[in-house]
Amino acid sequence: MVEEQEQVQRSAEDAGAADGAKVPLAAQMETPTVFLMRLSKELKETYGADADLAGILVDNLLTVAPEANVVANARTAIVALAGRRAAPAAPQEVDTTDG
Amino acid sequence: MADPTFLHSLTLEGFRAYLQPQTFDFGKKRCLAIFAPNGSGKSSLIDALEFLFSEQGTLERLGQRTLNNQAGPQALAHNGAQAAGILPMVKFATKTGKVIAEGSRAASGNQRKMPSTATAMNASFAADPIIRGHTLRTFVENQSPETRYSDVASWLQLAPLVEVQRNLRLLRRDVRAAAESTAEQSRLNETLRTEAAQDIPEWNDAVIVDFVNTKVIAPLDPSVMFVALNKDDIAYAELKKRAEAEEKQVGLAGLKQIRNAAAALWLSSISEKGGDPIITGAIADFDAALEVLANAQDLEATERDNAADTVFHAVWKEAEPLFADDATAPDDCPICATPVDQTNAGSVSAIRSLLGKHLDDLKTYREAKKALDNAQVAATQAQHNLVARLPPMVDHLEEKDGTGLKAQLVAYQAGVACWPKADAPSSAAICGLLAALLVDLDEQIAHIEAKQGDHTWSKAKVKIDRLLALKDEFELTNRKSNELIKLNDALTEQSRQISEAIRGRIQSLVDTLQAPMNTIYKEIQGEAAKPVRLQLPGEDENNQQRLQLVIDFAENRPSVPPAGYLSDSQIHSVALALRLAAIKRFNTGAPIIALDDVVTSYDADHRRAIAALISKMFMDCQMIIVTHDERFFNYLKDQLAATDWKFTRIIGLDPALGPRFSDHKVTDEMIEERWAAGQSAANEMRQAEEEWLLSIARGFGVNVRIRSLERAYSYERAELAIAIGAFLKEIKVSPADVSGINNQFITSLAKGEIENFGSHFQDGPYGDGSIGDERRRWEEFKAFRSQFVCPVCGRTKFQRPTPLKRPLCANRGCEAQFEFAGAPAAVSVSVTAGAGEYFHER
Repeated sequence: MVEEQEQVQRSAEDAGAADGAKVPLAAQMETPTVFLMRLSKELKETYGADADLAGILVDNLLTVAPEANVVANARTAIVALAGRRAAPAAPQEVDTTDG
Repeated sequence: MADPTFLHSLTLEGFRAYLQPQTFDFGKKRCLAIFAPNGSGKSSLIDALEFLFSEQGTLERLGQRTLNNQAGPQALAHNGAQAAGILPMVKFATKTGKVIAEGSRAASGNQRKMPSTATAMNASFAADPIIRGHTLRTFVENQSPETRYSDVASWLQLAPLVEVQRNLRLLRRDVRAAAESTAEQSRLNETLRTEAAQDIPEWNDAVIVDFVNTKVIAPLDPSVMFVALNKDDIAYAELKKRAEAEEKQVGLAGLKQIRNAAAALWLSSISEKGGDPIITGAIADFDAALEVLANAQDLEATERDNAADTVFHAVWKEAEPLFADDATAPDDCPICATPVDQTNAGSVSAIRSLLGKHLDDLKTYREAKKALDNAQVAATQAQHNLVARLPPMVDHLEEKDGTGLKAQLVAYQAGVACWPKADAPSSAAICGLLAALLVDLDEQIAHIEAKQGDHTWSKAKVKIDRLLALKDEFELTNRKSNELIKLNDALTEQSRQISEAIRGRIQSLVDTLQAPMNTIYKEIQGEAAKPVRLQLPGEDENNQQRLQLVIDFAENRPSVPPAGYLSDSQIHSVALALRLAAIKRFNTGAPIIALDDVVTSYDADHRRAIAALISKMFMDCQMIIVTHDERFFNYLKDQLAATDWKFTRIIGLDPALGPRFSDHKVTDEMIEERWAAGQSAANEMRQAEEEWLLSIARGFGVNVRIRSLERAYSYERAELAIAIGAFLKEIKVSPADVSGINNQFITSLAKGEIENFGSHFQDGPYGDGSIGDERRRWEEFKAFRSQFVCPVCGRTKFQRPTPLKRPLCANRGCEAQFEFAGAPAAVSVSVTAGAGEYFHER
């Protein structure tokens, strides 16, 4: 039979290394779509984070298939958000009805 | 653990180089290696895989449309497919456990939807299963860390995440620019300059208040002063009150309008040169026209009486030439024949005088009548003009203005309208009232103009309101700018959070791959190869995400970039190792690896090392390898189990068919066909010799020494021959000489040596040998080969079960001990040298 006499022997450590570190496979296999969904959720739930801004980023950028003009759209949305926040508060309507 | 999914079959039809259907069956042998020269369609198989799993139904190098240098999806189809009536398509079947699923994907038209079977399989590809050699070369050549980061992320199928990072960078740039923009302020300052007659270059509260107090309010009442420009200021309330009061009065413009309306009816003025007053206006015009008309009527009446006697005008007109001064007058009346001297006139000259008088009376009347007609037209026009001008004046007047002018004007208007059916009303009283009104208006206008010029409270309020609106806009713009700055800060923070998460994700995958990558890397480059580390530095303002390759090259060279220390081949190996490690690590659901010409950068030992690597670490994968490197192909054949691998080669590209495959075994007929076509068969011969040697080596169970990687350029055909030669010596048998030739191959084989035919036939290229040389060589080989037959049954397969020393016939019904057949027949060789052919025989 054909034998490979000088075949390099792999050590047990090598074998382990070749199989990769002990990182949960499920986490590694997380697709970009799932990863971005999880990241979006984390971003929105980050304490003290600007939720409106996070919403804009999630809606426009944190997707695997963004639109061609996604940056312009997001910029427009952020500028509009700044405009809404800068606008003076509308006068509160007083409820004059009884009860 | 779920069964992995493998490709069960793949059929290319009208696709790329394949016109007629060609099916690759992976049912019996899971892995496939194809050797083919360049341009013979071997990469079309890899293209089929890429196309099958392409979201857009195309190939990366074709693009989504025909543009610039990209051919577009139309290049997916074989150029002869339409003419041949073949629908370009890739059909396939997958096998998971015992379940086989089929699918197909059209490669033409706009609808090239990915079939569900491919979608399911594609979902298992966390890492791109296709590795093309040119992308590895690109990895070597494009060594910018940014490009490398993008490449690696793409290999790990994390390109969407890199796209997110890129878009975030662009968005941050745009939002920062928007926050820092002063365009809106500039626009508002331009508006301010217009409002302030260029006195104020830009908004300043104190300057604006000063402008309002001194330029807007002071001309009206300097005592009213703004402290601050806003609607809560007490001055604004005063301004508003005065403007409203002014609205209730007739302003300067209104007074001027009333004066103009009155003057249009009646106005007494004195020329600049002095003299009597001149009366103008529609009433005066009408009165004058009526007077002219009355005079014309009187004159016409008088002249009409004078002309009453002119009934005989025609008679006189006829008679006038008869009694003209220069004519000979008749003696008798031409009408009644009365002698002239018996008429009332009594003489010709008297008749002439009478005729002249009557005719003059008629002429005067005509003139008076014409004047009357003209006067009537003029009076009618003056009436129309007056009727048109009266209503505006009436409208301007209050009902109870204390003078009764409005009531009188209304009555006068009615009277004028009734003319000429009724007599025209008298205008004397109205003219008096209008004269008084004009005097009063002129006094009021002069008073206002002397006091405030063109300023009014209303205008002042309008201007201040505009300035207040402008102030609101300035404040809104400033607040918006501040909000944008805050959002920009928040965006920077959230971008950092997102980018760090993505970087962490990619880094974790890279970290996971680092150990197996280095293991694979060392398999290719040898144990002495320094480990390579993949590092992702954090993103900063000036640098986008990067992937740095670093090595600890030496003690005094730690963490240095490998570009200056590793060869291109080594970096190439890093790229290949990283890709292979990623596929093996992450694509467990569909462990398929397609390699397209990945060894072109390597020398022989490294090619062989890659073949060994595959046999060592990737036997649990389904591998599809295409290569134009025959040596690598042969390494694969030698080192990979024939039970799992199918080896085939493309022997030509038939335009009417597609790539033509030969069986793994090179047949004698194939070699003859080459010569018949006037082509060299050197490669085929070498292949055939190697295949036969390997078959004998395996059958005889000889020990083949696989040389170490450190020994460059070893050729296993020689090794096989040496091993077989040594074995034959050991069992003390030797082949007979081949009569009539100096057979170096056999001699060296007998001596346990072998010439380097690899270099002889391949590196030459094909040396200087003619087809005749090849024929002679081939006959020698066949003569030698013919001795290795079973002396009993004539079969050519042998085996050597341990512990037997001599091989046996592999035929179970025979199992005769091997021994050489008798001396081969003398060799007859038909040799073609150049254009001629000679016959060599002895």
